[in-house]
Amino acid sequence: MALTLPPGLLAAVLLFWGWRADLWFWALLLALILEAAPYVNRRWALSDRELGRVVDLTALLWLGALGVLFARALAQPPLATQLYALAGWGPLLLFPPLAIQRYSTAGTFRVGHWVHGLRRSESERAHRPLRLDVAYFLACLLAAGVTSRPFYLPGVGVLLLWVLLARRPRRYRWPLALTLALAAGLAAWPASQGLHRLQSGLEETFAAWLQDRFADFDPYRSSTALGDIGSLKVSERIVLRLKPTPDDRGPWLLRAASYNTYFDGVWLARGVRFARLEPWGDGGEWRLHPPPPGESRRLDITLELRRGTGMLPLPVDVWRLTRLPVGELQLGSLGALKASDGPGLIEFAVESAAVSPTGESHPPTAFPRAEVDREGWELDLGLPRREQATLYRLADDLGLTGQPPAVAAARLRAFLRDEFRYSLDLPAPAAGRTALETFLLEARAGHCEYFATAAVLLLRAAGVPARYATGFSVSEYSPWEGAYVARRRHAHAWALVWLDGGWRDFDATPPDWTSFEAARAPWWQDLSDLWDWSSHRFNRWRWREASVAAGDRRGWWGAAGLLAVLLVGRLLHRRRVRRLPAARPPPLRSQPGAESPFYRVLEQLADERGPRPPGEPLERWLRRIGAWDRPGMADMVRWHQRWRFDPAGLPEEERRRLAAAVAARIGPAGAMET
Amino acid sequence: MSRAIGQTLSDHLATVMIGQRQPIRWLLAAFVGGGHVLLEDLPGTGKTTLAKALARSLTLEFQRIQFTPDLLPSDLLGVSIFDPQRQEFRLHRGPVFTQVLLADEINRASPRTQAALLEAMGERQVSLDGQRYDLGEWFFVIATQNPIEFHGTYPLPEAQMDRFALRFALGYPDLDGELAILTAQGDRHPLDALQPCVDRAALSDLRRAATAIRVSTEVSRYLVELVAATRQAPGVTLGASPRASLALLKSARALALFDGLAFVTPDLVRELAAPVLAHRLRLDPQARFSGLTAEAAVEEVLRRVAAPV
Repeated sequence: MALTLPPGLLAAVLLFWGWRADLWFWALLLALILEAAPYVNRRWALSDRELGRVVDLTALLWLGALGVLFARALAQPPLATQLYALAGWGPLLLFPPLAIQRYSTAGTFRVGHWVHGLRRSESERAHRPLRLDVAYFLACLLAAGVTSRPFYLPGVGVLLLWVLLARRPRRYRWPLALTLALAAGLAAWPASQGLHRLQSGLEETFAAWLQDRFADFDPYRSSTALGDIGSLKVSERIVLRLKPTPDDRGPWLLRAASYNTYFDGVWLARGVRFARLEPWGDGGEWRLHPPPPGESRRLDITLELRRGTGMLPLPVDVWRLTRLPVGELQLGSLGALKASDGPGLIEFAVESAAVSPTGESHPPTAFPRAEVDREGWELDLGLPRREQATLYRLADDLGLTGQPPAVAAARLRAFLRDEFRYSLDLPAPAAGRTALETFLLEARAGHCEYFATAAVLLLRAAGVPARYATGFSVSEYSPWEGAYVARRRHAHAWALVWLDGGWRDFDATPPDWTSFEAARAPWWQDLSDLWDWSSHRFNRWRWREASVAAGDRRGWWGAAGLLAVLLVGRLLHRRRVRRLPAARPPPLRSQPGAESPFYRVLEQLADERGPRPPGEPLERWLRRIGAWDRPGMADMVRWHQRWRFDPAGLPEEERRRLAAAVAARIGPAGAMET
Repeated sequence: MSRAIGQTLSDHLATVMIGQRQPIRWLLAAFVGGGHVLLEDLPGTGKTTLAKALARSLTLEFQRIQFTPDLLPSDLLGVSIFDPQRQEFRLHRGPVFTQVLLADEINRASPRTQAALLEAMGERQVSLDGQRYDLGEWFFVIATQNPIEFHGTYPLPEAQMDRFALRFALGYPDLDGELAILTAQGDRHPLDALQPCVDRAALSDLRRAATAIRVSTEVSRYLVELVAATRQAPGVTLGASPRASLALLKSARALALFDGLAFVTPDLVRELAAPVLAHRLRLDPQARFSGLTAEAAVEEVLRRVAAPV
């Protein structure tokens, strides 16, 4: 039997919703209509088919509301906001069937009205009554929750408390029920906090999983989060390990790809061509350029290559790679290196020119450049049409235009570091402005993609060729690994600027960004690091021991695991999960004999010895708890049962005797709350 | 008065069936409620003795049929034989034309013979050669069967099962009871000395009094909910029929009469739920193999459906 709500509760929840959604008028009106039903002695005689039509009309109403919101979502993009609005309208949209239920002679819908496939069915299921009160109550609670007013949880708590107290099993007295409900309410508070944290944790885990699976560097295109709304989700997974020479302290910017054209939040590598490199000798050595004059800087890098293919994150001045066991290496015209035909895990050494990686202000070097890098100047100076005017104006205001590249870069760095701050929040763009303009002119806060894009485009506006680079910023030392590590969240974007005849790293992101993100690391990071480390050891062993041709068996293991889970789930389902007939709530006081004083004896016994299981016969229970042999008990039970179950009722004389027997046992009536 | 008759009968049977008060109570409840009884238990527990003891205690006609695999419907119902002297067919009535019928080892007969009993049990009449023969209001079948033996037996079909108001087992007596049996049957069986103890008028009174027992709407609803819950119980493919509700109500009235009550209590309904409902349930084979029994399914239903107090 379904839960019936106490009278007045629906009106209360409607008012709660009206208060939170600022729809006082509607809430009051709906509540009045609902609560007036008992005082109106007319009912609408609707046929079964007409009741079905009411449901159809409600469905049309919902469809209409969806259409309106969809149209609104086209004009005001975030769809989520509009979906919230739909939830907020729920009490209005669901009201017609509820009102019909109250004011129709049928008094209830049936399952068949709501499930179209069962509408003409004659089955018992289709004719099961379906009352909307509880669903409506929940819809109102949901609708009240989508606004940002305070006191939502306390309000919901009070309303639920009302239901629980009014519909408690009658063997619980109200102080006990109240205490229990309050305790549950108090426990619900940390639980809701925990759920909230769990949700954000799951979201981040999912985002991380997505990044790990699909977020390889694409040498032709890099979609940024510019213009997205919400908060950037970052993953803690370790993806790269780096061992420098002992005197080298980093940090290192390892570029995986670079791009030359920006358009609406996306960086593209236009006109990029890849040329195959020939290995140098047999030992997995590859040379990109002739050796630079002076000392080289050497790094040992360990990296996972998905399916043996991927972009290699390398210092921008790399000239030689050694011990790199890949079958093919291609050099892109913008300087990125793509490896293919390799194992799943590669360890190699990189040698680069010993220059300061962050390009603060370095002496001009006579570093020879490959011809490929000098092509496409117009692309390296191009500006997006939408933001062009803003960029020129800003470059002028900052005094960048016409300055030597090094001066322009220094001024721009000072501007970005002093006036902007790092943030992972993604605010909505201001009206009439692009995301980049909002960042530059209003928000002045963002993550590395904003800083890098702004730096590249402002430098270009000042006449300095610049490119957008993505890769990793490595600065964290992991004692576990005995190496510097780059996590997924260390993926970074920065600018490359043409200075003194060469491309230099120009990282304008405030340097505290790594510590900012590290502060957001979850509590289980140590565990996840341990897992990363062990799986890394395993992978190393695997890729050293197993032949390259053995292939990736993780898919097979995953499939076997899934199969096992399905099998176990099916066994458990077949064995354990059974549909139980619904238990009937204990009798209400309106039934004959409900005023019998013997209930007080039963309540007292339940207090003393625990409640009677609903399925246990009265006499057997009394015998089990040793109460049957108490003086007068058998007589009391007989009288009580006669009062309750004899249609002829219990004569007045015996009622008096029962009352006297009960009073003799537990004191006069009224001495005990019933 | 009626309670006293019930008590007399019960005491009378108890002299033969030592330590078996509960089965006697149920047997009498079925008889007073006008339903048939299936006794199912291991060999030697006293099924046949109980049936014979009841028949002898009542002043009613008694017939016993030993069901065998070669028993034919005509062996049960009777057969028309041509009488050459009178030049007509004459019906030789079979043993079913009686008041108390003991169908011993009923599952040993073939299904067609078992089926011959359907009409007799359901409608207290027999149709032979296009003629309808009434069996009278006292027609009462006590069948016995042995649940562990499967060789040469034919399980009763659901339709047949449904026509038994109650099915129950006797169970082994306790040590003292068994000792008492040894003593009582030392020289001769007490059954041989059993005499009728109530006359037919008293029996009619008993049945009339049972129908006068009052039942409140609340208890009827509880009873119907119990029966309906068996139809949705887990592991049960076929639940109990409305005939089961009727049988449960009638038997519960009889029990109320024996207990000296003028009305039926939920406890009486519960007491009879397993004997009245369990044999009518058909279990899902998988649930059966995983150890579910019909009695356990009924117990579960009793546990789930809250009884009014």
